[in-house]
Amino acid sequence: MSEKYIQLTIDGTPISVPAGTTILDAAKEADVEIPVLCYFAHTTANGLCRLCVVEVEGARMLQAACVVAAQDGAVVHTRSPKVERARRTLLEMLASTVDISESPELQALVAEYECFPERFEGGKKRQPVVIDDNPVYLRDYSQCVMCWRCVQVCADDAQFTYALNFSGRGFDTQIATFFDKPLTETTCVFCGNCIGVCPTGALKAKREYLIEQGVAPEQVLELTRLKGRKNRT
Amino acid sequence: MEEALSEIFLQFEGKREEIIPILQRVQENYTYLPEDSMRQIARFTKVPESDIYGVATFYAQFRFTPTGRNHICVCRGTACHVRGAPAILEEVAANVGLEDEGTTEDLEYTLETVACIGCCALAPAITYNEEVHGNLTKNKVRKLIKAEAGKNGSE
Repeated sequence: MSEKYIQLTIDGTPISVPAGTTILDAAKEADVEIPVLCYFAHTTANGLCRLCVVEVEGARMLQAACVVAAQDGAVVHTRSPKVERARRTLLEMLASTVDISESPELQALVAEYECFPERFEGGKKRQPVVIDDNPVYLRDYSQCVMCWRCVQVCADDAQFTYALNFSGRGFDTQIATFFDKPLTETTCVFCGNCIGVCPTGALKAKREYLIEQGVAPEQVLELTRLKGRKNRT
Repeated sequence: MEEALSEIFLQFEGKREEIIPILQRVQENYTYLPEDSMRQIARFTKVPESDIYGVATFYAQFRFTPTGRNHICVCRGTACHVRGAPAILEEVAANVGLEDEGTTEDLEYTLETVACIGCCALAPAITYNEEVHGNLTKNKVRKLIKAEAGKNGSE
């Protein structure tokens, strides 16, 4: 059985892809790069960050390339003024509310799109305190961009532990555990998947953090040892 | 499991889409959502605890601390605001012994502000234990709280 192929044009390049391919994947085929933030090859795409929006001729609104399937005969522009403006505004809002100092990819995008986050100066920033409740990793949600990847790998996309999810709403949304309990009191198994998929410095291995702080290696081991193990001499 | 909780669960099938009605019923019963009930709801609906917490924290209607025996909502909608809601709020707070929104230590009063209670023609308005009182003045607020406190005392 042969797959049905469709033809479309991305930034002037004609391309043929199997029906059902997302615009993002089709663009990859056409060697056109679309910036992404929440999209991750191994988690379910949700179109949350809207950074991958593209202009499809005839469509009423910009389309999130990571979730929208390419249509036969579509003419897609990935870097039109409308697209650039949308991405710039998004990046400016992110850069003005979230600490992106440990996110080089985001910083590069802010520079590439000639963002001016200062125009939102004086606005509220997300500045929750760093959560240090276990020997494995730290959670600094002032750096969190709400990509949802940590929640996804904690749930049906990898580990099936369901320790994390969103809490709150709007500006106060934050990744949290049940009743904001310390991770050691949740279903968390410390698999580390969430740290691995975090696109910013929000989730960081405690050892990495302590070394950055200049703590001596022997002390680092002492500080990150699980309590149960200590008794087993 | 507490009897009240099992009785509430009896009226549901334990489906994911029933989470919000279940949360509402549980809150009606306890005036808030106790942690243990939240765990039981997770088990009953077979939805992770973190998800239940996510749903409950999303909606302004759900709370996690007990409320007072008397529940006062001061409307801060546009109509009430222009007709003096800030002064009404101040007056209610002063009369129940609070600085701002919150619950008194003796669990007698919970004071809340809401965006609109849907009777703009009666602005400024409040609800006192779900009963609407409109066209308020500071004086009327004082009298209302006094009268209600007297009612409670005689019961």
